[in-house]
Amino acid sequence: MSKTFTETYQPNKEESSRQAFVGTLKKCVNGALEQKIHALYEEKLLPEYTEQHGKPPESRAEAKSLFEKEHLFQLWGSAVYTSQDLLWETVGDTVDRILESAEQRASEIDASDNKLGSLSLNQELELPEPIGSTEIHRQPGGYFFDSEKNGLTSPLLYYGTIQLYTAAKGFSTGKTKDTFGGHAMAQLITQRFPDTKPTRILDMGCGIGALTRGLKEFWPEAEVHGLDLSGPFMRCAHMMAEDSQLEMHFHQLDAAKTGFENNSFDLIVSQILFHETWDEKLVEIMQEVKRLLSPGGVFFNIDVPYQPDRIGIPSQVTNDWQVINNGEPFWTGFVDTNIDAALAKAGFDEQERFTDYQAAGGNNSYFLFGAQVAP
Amino acid sequence: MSKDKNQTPSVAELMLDSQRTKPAFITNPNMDQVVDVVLRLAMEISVLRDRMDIYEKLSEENGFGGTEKIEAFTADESLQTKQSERREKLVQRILHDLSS
Ligand SMILES: C[S@@+](CC[C@H](N)C(=O)[O-])C[C@H]1O[C@@H](n2cnc3c(N)ncnc32)[C@H](O)[C@@H]1O
Repeated sequence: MSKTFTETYQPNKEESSRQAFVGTLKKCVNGALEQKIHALYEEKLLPEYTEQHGKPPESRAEAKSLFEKEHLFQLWGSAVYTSQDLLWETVGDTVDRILESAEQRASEIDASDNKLGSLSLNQELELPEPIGSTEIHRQPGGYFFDSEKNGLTSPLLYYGTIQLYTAAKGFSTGKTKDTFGGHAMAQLITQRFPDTKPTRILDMGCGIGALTRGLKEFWPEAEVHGLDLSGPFMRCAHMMAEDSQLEMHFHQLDAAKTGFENNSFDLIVSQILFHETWDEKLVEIMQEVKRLLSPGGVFFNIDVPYQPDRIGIPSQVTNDWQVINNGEPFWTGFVDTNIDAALAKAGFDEQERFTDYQAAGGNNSYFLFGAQVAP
Repeated sequence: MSKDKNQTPSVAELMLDSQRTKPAFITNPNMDQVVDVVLRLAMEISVLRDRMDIYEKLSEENGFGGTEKIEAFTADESLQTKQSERREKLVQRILHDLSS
């Protein structure tokens, strides 16, 4: 057999140097430079506005134009934008170079007779809009690039950015870290629901399945399934699970319409899925979860904590900028959504649902929400 | 995009897509600052390249394998720390130039 995928994805010296530089650039732009915008607001924009209007701005809509005139804010935007392009360019160099070897590995696994787990692709799956045609994070080609062949460019770019962030030691955007290990999530689940001993687990919007693999390691006895809209992501997740000798099952499916049987899972999770989804879709997914959960089953989600009542005006304005300019089209919709009400609408009772914030060191935190259905 | 229609475009090609142009964010770009930064970067790159040529040449002359060995090298923790500190200092100085 050929080299495993993780052995194959190795940036060479120049690629690592460039990627390390981009990691540092992002850290400084999203950290110190963004902090300067906060200071500018406190020291100048807020006092000036308050003097003129007799009260501070009440929403990001009121405050936005104050920022947009400032050189510092414009510079920040320009630098965020370019650092994102540099991210794709430098990771893309590695992806372009190793794509063929990764494809070869995946094809060998696809064709193998002694697999532990399974992969079910669904070429006919209709991609819901607007996500189907959006380049999230401005990833070149988007999540569904080369779907006809289930080519691996999009999952490799996704994997490469996670590697870049991990390698940039001490990287922190001053916000939520984007990925969270399966073990850490499992611990949060058992803290909240000490009796959890899942036998059948589903990870929705599992991407390349990093969290999913952690859950399987934590609960090795459980049957673990992951689903995602993107066929290329599922093919990559399957390859990585087989490479790690973990028995796992991946499905190209819409989380809102899975086709699994009623009451067939006792733990359903997602990580940063819901901020890429929107109003009706969000409730539809939750309704599907309600249908799939067996009595006493747990629904547990981790997502971004940027709800307007949690963050100050400057962060609301910078987040809004990311939504408009940096491929985070659904953030605003998500953080403005009343998640408790959405869970209620999907049929979860008051005693069943929860929404909470979890501190995660420094200024970081996570937004947790979900439900445990009645036994 | 790629010439051959059946050939999947590389990421490098996707990045050159004419739709991916950067919108204007800065209303009044201060060209003096931009010149500062470009020249500083050019200087640093030139210094590094000169120095690297010497290392590669010396390494080859002394039978240490030159380029091949360089690709196979793994930095230890203290070198990694040193490099990451140096990178961060460079970025901070650039951002200082641009925002002051
Ligand atoms: C930001 S990624 C998160 C991936 C993974 N959970 C992680 O933490 O790395 C969001 C994923 O959700 C998937 N997704 C979005 N809407 C979906 C839906 N309706 N059904 C299934 N997957 C969906 C996307 O394709 C994408 O892979």
